Amino acid sequence: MGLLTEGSPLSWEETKELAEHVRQHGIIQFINLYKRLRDRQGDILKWGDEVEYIIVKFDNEKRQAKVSLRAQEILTELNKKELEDPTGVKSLWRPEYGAYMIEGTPGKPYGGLLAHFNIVEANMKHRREEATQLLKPDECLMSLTSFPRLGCENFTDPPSKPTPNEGATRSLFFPDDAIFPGHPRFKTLSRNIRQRRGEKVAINLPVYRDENTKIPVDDSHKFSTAALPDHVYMDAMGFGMGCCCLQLTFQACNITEARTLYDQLTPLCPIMLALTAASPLHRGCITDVDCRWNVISCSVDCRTKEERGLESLKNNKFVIKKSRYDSIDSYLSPQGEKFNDVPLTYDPKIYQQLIDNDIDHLLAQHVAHLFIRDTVSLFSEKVHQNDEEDTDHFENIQSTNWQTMRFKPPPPNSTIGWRVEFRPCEVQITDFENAAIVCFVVLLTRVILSYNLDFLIPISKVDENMQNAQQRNACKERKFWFRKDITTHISPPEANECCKKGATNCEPKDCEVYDCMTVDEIINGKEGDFPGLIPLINTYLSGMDVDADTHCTIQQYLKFIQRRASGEIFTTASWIRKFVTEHPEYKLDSKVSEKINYDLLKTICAIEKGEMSCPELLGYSTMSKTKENIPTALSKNC
Amino acid sequence: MDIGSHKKCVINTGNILSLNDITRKSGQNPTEELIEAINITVKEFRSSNLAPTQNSKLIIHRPTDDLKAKIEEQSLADLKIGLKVFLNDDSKVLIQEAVEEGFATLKVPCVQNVILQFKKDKLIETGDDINSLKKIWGVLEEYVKNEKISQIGLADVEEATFRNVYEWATVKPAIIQINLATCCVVPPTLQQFCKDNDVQLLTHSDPSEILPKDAVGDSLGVPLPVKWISRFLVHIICRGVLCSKGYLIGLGEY
Repeated sequence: MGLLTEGSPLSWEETKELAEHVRQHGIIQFINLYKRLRDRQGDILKWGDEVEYIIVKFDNEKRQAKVSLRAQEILTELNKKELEDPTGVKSLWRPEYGAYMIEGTPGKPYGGLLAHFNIVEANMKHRREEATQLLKPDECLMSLTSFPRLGCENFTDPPSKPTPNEGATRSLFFPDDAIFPGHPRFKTLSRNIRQRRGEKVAINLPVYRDENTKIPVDDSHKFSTAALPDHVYMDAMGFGMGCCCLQLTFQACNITEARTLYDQLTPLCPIMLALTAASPLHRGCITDVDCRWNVISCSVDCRTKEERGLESLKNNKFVIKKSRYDSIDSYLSPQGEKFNDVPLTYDPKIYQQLIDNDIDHLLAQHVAHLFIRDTVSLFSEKVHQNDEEDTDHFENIQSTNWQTMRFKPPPPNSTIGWRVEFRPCEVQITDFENAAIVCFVVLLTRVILSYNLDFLIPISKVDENMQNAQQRNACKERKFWFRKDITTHISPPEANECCKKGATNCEPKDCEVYDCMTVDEIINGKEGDFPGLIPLINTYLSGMDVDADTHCTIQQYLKFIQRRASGEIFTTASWIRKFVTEHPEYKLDSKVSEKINYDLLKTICAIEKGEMSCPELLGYSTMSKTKENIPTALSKNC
Repeated sequence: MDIGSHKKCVINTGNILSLNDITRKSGQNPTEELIEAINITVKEFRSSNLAPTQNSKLIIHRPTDDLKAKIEEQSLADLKIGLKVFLNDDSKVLIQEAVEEGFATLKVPCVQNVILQFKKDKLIETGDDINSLKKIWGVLEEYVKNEKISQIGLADVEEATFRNVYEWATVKPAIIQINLATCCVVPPTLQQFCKDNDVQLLTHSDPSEILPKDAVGDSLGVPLPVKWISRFLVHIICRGVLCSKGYLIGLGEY
């Protein structure tokens, strides 16, 4: 996303009126761009990461930590450099949902040499330093998935009050003032999602039950019928979109490779979610989940009661199974077709229109399925478009389908090719960890392409894994469906039969393309049964020309991931849980008090800055050889 | 087929990236991988009942090998092809044979780089044998001059040896390959030398003796001596994709 152009958002009534207009033109725009770009070939590997940060303000006297609502002020400064020198800057800065959040990406994408893996962490460090320079001495830039006391009384600086009876959000807990004020998009989205849904969004996370945990958790249920008494209840988009994530996007050499990688990474999404789990605390409580995923999913769930299947269909067209923020529903590559075992909801007329325009079944149903959603944000300047050239209406729907993976067509008039975005990961505390995770995923894509690996399992099993991945301590304790034999694209004929018929009539033995594995087994391998993703990466690397510094760095990253997967060191979520529950002030009541919150965030800041070592979270070797630039002897190679 | 009756013999494993049995055992070291690739190749060759070759050189290969197809999928300009030759004899004929066999197998007129790992057969004296290295290097230089190889390099040599060869050579080494185990502790002087001279400092994970003496004999059932071993790597440039990988093993008396 480029710098957001400002504009005038339409009211919800106007937006709703134009929903069909956006849909029709969005589809035409996709058809046109597909015709133009389907045969685009020969793009090299380019990729980039996105790290989101929150700005935290510490009151060291009162021992309190708040989110600092200064993102707009800081962004304005950060964007100055880019406006002066758009192609020369080392980092790009964008607003995010929270008035206390910013998002940083590398100024230019990384390229297709292995040596590029060695500049990722340096770039992340640079970004952190660049933004930190603009902070006040009592502020800290933190790559933290969820602010533990978000939505608690006085969680912002300056203080702000929720407005349950007016404004965009109408939350009992989350003030509109905590939404990024610098662009109308964010408040408009909040308002429109609430209005489309017909009521406030509702997020209920099971509370972690400790000795003194009180049920009901609080008196939310008195104010809202949506609140479940034994859950941590949240009622605003900000609880989800106000979380930070770690995402990465890479360019494929053509549309076929993009479809292959979109599919192949899909079964990895829940595994990476479990591995990067980092958000057990919400609204001042310890919950029984480790991840943000369902929180965000519910926080932007714009489905009406009819669409959620609670009332019979009268005004709406479809019953829709998932929120517009959720895991993907179908594979896109021919190998994936037989694993598309979840019926897709879409408008047959749109599907047919795509088919009539020479778009194949898999892509047509994917796009038609995305387009069951209405626009939830429309600007008056963007209503009328040239469908031959513009793609805003397509992007309007595409970019508000926030799924685990995103299949991205080339933007109009650019040198950029077909891309895939990987979106499940939670952001980690340190640049070392974040660099390790993005490098691991991108390395894995190279291994998949080099060895023609196949990770596909039925999409329904990926959905099961997604829910499993968020459970408390899932990385260490849960098992996940994962493909047993990843080396061949040719499944045994009997397994194919099973998938077609539905597995019920078959002996389970014949159907088991997949098995139950722990994250450890998937990442590190299981003697005699499964090679493991890291051994596969290491074998791949032994066939590549890797410079010594880069290989040293990658080894540190892979060892770190191996340790996280094996349980030798904590996931961020487990570590945070431990910190809170072992805090002297913790009263075994599942509550994260102001002081516990302060100590936790102070400790995280110190770990991130390297002032405090934390081997139980990071292991002992976190010193990579990351550097700013690629050696000239290598840069000539690509 | 009577393999023993052939004076000259080459084992060509073909593209081992397509061998599921090898991929499944990821994490093996290169020696284990090479022995497994040889065993699979010999087994597939034996069971294929191919007609005996007419000339005196026998090439043991896999009829199902997809190397040719994998290379033809890409335009040659998008490929970066490299060889690593493992020698323990400095005879000029052997390095020539190894390089030529590489060209013939890959069906290409030239390759991007060739890296030499030379270890004397009997490691009586420690240290590198600079004279032997230079003798082999001279052959590689000719290939560079004839534009058959773009860059040449050395593996597992001491820093002083590398500098010595660098000073002496007409065609300077463009690559030094060090063992992965030492990649985090590269001497600063070597790092600086590489930086100053645009030498690529790369890693490998090969043991000093990549193929134990008896491994080929055990696989073939005939005690043919190993003359040279070469690994080919075919990369798709700028995409980080390994297209093909395999080994050639030159056997026979010399």
